[in-house]
Amino acid sequence: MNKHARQRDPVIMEHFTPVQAAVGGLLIGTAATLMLWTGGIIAGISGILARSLFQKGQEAFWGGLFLCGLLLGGATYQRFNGRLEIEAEAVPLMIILAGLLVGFGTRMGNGCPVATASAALPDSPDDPWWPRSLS
Amino acid sequence: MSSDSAHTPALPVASFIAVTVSGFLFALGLAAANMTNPAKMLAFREVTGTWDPSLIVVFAAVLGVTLPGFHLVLKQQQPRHAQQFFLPTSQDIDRKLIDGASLFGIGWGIGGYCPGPALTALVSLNSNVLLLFAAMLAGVMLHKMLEE
Repeated sequence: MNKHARQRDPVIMEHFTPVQAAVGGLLIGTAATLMLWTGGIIAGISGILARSLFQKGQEAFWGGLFLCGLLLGGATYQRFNGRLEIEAEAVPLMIILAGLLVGFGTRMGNGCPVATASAALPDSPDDPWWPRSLS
Repeated sequence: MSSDSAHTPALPVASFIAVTVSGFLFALGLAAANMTNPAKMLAFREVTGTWDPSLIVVFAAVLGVTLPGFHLVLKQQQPRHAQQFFLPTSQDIDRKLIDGASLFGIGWGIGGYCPGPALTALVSLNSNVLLLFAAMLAGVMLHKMLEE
């Protein structure tokens, strides 16, 4: 029994990378906070992308600049850490379907659900910063 | 230059840099967490097999910064370099949000990409990423066309 459990554990956690995940998450959180603080924009990529494409004005401009920073960040990472690791097994038709659904779905839902969850806006500035359910 | 420079509004250059740095850090974070790799994202889905819970750690770390961070920022009258905060007008969960999130979820489950990582991964010039991004743009445009 014990032996069996010991054999299984490494398999389950084989790809678990908590340190990289935490560092990445802290960077993303810092970036999103900086974006809201300076440009006043929630760093949801799908919304930023759409507004940069279809709108004019301050919001679209800051959004476009943010997207440039994103590409610059990706390029810089590659410069120092080698080419981004990309393992995609799906066939082209499925990739196209996936892209269409992600693009359409994020716009219809008014933002990528992942970004929506990460933004976790307080209802008013006077509310505590922790979720209401905890207070 | 002179002593009264403190009274002039922030240089545009400073705001350009701040917003670009935001995007820059965002991409570094995505790449550091390996979220730019579809296999990593899809491993989160494999609850029954070799499940990879890394994505939970990413979200926890993001929220650890944004919960207190956004709270502090929104106490300001306005952003540093814009006239107003551009916040979503509706926070209600309605039918469209549910349907949109579902469509997104299916696409995410197939391709392993959401918009941010897909855009960041463009720099790899990987043909699958380019294809997915083009299709994603088409999806965004299609929604825009149907909306009008």
